[in-house]
Amino acid sequence: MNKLKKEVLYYGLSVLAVILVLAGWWAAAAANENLASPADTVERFFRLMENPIMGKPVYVHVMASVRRILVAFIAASIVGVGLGVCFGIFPTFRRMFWPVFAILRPVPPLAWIPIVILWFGVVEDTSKYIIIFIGIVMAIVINTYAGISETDPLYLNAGKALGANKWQTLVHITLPNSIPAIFAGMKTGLSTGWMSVVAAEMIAAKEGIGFLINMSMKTTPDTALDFVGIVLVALCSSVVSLILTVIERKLCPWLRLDVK
Amino acid sequence: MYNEKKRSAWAKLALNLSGLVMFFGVWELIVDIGLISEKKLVAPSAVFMTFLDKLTNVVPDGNTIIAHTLTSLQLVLIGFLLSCLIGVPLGLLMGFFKPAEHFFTPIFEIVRPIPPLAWIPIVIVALGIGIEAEAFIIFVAAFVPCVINSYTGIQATNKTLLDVARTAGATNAQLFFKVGIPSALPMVFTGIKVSFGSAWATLVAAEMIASTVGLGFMIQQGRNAVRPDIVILGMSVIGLIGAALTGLLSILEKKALPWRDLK
Amino acid sequence: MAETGCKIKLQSVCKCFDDKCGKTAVLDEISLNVYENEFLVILGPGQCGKSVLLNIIADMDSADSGTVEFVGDNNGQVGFVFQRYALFGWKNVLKNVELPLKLKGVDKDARRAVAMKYIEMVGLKGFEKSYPAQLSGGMKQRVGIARAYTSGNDIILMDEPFGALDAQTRYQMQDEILKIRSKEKKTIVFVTNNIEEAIYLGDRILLLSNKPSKVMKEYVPDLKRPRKNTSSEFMRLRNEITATMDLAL
Repeated sequence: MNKLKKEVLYYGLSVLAVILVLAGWWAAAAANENLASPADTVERFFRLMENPIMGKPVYVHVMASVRRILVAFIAASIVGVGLGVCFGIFPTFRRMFWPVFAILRPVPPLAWIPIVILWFGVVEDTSKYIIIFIGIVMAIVINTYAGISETDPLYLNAGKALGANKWQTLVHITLPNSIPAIFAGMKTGLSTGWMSVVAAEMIAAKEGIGFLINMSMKTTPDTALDFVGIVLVALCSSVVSLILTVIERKLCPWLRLDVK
Repeated sequence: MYNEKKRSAWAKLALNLSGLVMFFGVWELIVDIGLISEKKLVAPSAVFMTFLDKLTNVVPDGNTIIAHTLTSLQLVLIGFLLSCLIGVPLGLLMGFFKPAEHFFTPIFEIVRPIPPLAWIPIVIVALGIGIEAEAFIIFVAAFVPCVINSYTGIQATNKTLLDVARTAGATNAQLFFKVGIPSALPMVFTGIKVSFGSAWATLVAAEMIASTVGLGFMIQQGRNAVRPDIVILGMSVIGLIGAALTGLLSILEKKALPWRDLK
Repeated sequence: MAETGCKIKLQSVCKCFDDKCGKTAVLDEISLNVYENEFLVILGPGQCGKSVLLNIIADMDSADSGTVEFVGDNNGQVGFVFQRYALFGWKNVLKNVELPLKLKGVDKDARRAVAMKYIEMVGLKGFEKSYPAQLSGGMKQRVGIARAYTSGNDIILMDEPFGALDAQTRYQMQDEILKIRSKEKKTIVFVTNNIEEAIYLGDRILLLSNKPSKVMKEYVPDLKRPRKNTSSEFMRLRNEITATMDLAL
């Protein structure tokens, strides 16, 4: 009975927290006439469904952002894992190019935006893809390299004893052993990636969720539109993360075993 | 298997340098022989000249590089320190006390997936354009990793240690302060480092979108004025400061956790 | 004793490790022969360097001086059983066991057949699709043994293979390894720090001293199999070895 009471209390606390957040939002909106309330936001969302912005319905904006992050993510995964593997298995390559990587790494992905736009312009999507790519790729390179270089020497010895050559060691031992680290890198990369999507679209785009958010700042403040954008980004990023988690589980059944 | 062949210290240094020399050499060369227009890329040497110039010159962005840097540093420190002061204790409480976990987790989960920059329009309406608005955005960006890492760190406290302390008669508060927090510290520091990185990156973007001073504003203006030298100079300063402060945090971490990394 | 021919010859193998207090000598002029189809036990106190010796034979580590020579057409390829199993967690039992053949490019049907044979031999039929994380310690080491046999090498090195198992399982596995050996003859070099295990299993026992290790003494237990650790000869030999080890300390 005591346990049940506790459960109820905890559940109640969670509900109370959400109510308090909404109430706080409402109170803030009531105090500031420019700030949209939750009701305004919902209403704005339906208005957005009917009145396209820039002649594009809302789903076109959402799909533009999703398309950008997916393309950049796939490219960054291929390049990132490849580079990480090269750093991991070719000592000479690592010696030569890790310092170059190390001086580029502290430059935040978003700080690349102006130069990338200078190089590739604002009109085409190329610059957006590159900015998002930079945001994602760093974490994947670092995690892949870490996963490979931190492989338990026991596994490497076992590979040697079984007669594996360098390539076979990579395919059968070091790479599969690094999969959890690589996925962790992909997840970190994705959250930076969403940040880059929003930033790139806020700074230079004609469609996308970031563009909607930026529109909310133009002329008269339209914070309801910003809230709609926030909810859309949060939803999309949750769905993409979820898909990645599902893929990870399918790909690595051994990571989710009940140990007998 | 992937260990390096035996190399002398000199050979290692030479290899390390060769990559950098190649990088800067190729960069300098493609600009000097005109492969790339000066409107898109300038040579490293020209960036350095711009650096000397920007120490005193306020064109085209209205401030010297020193003023931009100081503004950015001030902002990042306010946002970052605030997020540590609030985020770390919050994460620790959430990880250790069940009621706190159940109360704060839903709030946190609502805030977590929102890219910090998306707050900008709301914050401008609520706080106006100014230092408070920017500090708030940076605070939000740095807050999330602080909470997550402190939370995970204290949750992973060794149960045996807790039992030992409990049988020795420790109160809940003592368990929290004497066992939970010390064992969570390594993760707390990881979180602090991540959150600094996040704060610094967000600051740059926030300054590009809504500001009239700061390194982010400077590179954005450099782009508008088609001055790649200013853009690259800004990126370099941003990278250098980021690396230096992260290094400083690592040194602090080593001092605070001398038992870590002992082999 | 099956001393039909020499398989491995070690001559004056030395090994030092660098550590904080300078160089520590681990192996000091170790010379020994391994004969075809014998069960050679290398017995020594903990941390004496017996595992290092085995790693040097398997070419996973290199000697500072001295030579390791494989006699016959064997070009240094050996099967290896690790104390910590070294099973690949991302491969199921079947894929772990068939890996050595896959690495050699043996086609799927052929390597499956060989792997299944050895999985059956170690008593794991029905567990082919299980992942290592789902197996007990004893079962994991059975997989390790099957994998070493699948490699097809006629020399198998075992590095304290039962060191991580509980006492009960350990006895079972000792009988298991003898049973397997009776089905398929191999030259086995078995490292342990357990005197009873050495006497129970070994055709020949080499006793190593503490660091820096030398070969102190050789024993050839003249006991009928299955050996009983309660028999008077067994206990006499055990006491003798214990006394020699204590003396060296």
